[in-house]
Amino acid sequence: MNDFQRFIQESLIWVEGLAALISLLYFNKSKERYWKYFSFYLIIMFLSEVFGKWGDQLMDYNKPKFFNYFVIPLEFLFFFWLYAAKSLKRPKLFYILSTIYILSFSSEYFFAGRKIIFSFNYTLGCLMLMILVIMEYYKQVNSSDILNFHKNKMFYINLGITLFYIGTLPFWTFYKFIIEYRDVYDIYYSYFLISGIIMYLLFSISFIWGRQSS
Amino acid sequence: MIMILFNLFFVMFVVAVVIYIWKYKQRKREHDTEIKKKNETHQRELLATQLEIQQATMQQIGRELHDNIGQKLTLVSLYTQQLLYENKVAEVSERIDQVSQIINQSLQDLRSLSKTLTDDNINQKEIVTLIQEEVDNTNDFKSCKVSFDHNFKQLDLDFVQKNVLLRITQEFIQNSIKHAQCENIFITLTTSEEALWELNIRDDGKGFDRSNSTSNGIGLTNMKNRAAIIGAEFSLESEENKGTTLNIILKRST
Repeated sequence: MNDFQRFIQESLIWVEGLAALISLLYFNKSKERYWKYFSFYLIIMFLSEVFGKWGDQLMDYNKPKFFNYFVIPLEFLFFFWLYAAKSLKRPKLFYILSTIYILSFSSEYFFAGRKIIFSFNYTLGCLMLMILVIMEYYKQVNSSDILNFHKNKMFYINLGITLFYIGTLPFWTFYKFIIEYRDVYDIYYSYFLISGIIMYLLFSISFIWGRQSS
Repeated sequence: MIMILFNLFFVMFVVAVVIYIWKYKQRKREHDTEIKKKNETHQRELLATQLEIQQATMQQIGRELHDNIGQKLTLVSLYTQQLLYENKVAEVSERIDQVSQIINQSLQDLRSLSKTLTDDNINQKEIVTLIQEEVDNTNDFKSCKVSFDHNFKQLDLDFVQKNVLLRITQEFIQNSIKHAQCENIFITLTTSEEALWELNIRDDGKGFDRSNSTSNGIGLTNMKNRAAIIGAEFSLESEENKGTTLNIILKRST
């Protein structure tokens, strides 16, 4: 990890904090309840990140497990809910995707021996999120609301998710391969960090520019 | 393999962005035309209403003039007649006679004004009769020979359309006589399968260069606006020393 990457990694946590703070400032302006949950989500993400960074000074805990079994699943389940249940208004889809995702944890038994795929459930989660992103994209493109895209919160969120989760999908899926090619790994790791920052900035923007009623 | 996958993702992303922008522009265009259409309809309705209100106001004033002021003037006229008849003050009888004459003159003017105002000509008469009357009036001046042809006997048009046709014809004739020093004006009003009516007016005057006309006259704009009220196609061609041709078509709405 070079200095540049270290610098962005340090910044990432503060950008997350910024997003959480902005969402709090706009907390009461959101008429729809689920945007308040988005606020909560950003706050929890920030706190988890803080805990992940300095938590080991307070207590002893298994950091990878904390992320793998709490933070990442929470991210996916929240976005499944936001996309499927709230934006696309298909609660059934949310239940189906969530069930598949949770069941995929059992696959760890099967893949325990060969760690070619970095994390099966992460890849699966990303793929399902990708489907939702595409569905959301189609919804936006074919709706007359496209005229007011800059006021649509989901536009910014969708863009952020695309850049971060979808963009880094090949990276995490083939992590074991990529790590052997230093150059590619370096570039892709920088992309991962930068897109993370962009995503949280877009989340902040969605609160500032997004129409409060939608 | 990984790079291919990543490149694939990247290309998909770019394509998605391009489609998004394209769709946005398309929707924007649709939205704009919709608004434009709405504005046009609104404008048209506004102008039509204006015309109707104008007509109603004129009739109201005309009736008021006739019923109120007219009656009073009649009374005044009667009194002066009586004064003359009684001949009490002989030295002013000549003056009284003068006053009586002025009053009678005013009464006559008032009656004719009231008649023009309340005249429901346009509503009651056929468009052909209306234009023919206008043509006859102009021909009486003998400054210009106007001919009028039409290829139908009867055409049911509503007030607004008749009004527009008549006013445009009047405007054109006035302009031709005033500015073009023409000798002949030819008016044709035809109806066909595609067009509900087509009005064609042509003069053989000195014409004008449209691109060169500085004032872009109010009369011209007026004619154009009137045609727009009823959604008719308006075209005016003019060439110096060759005359001016006006063509207005109202297509049949399917």
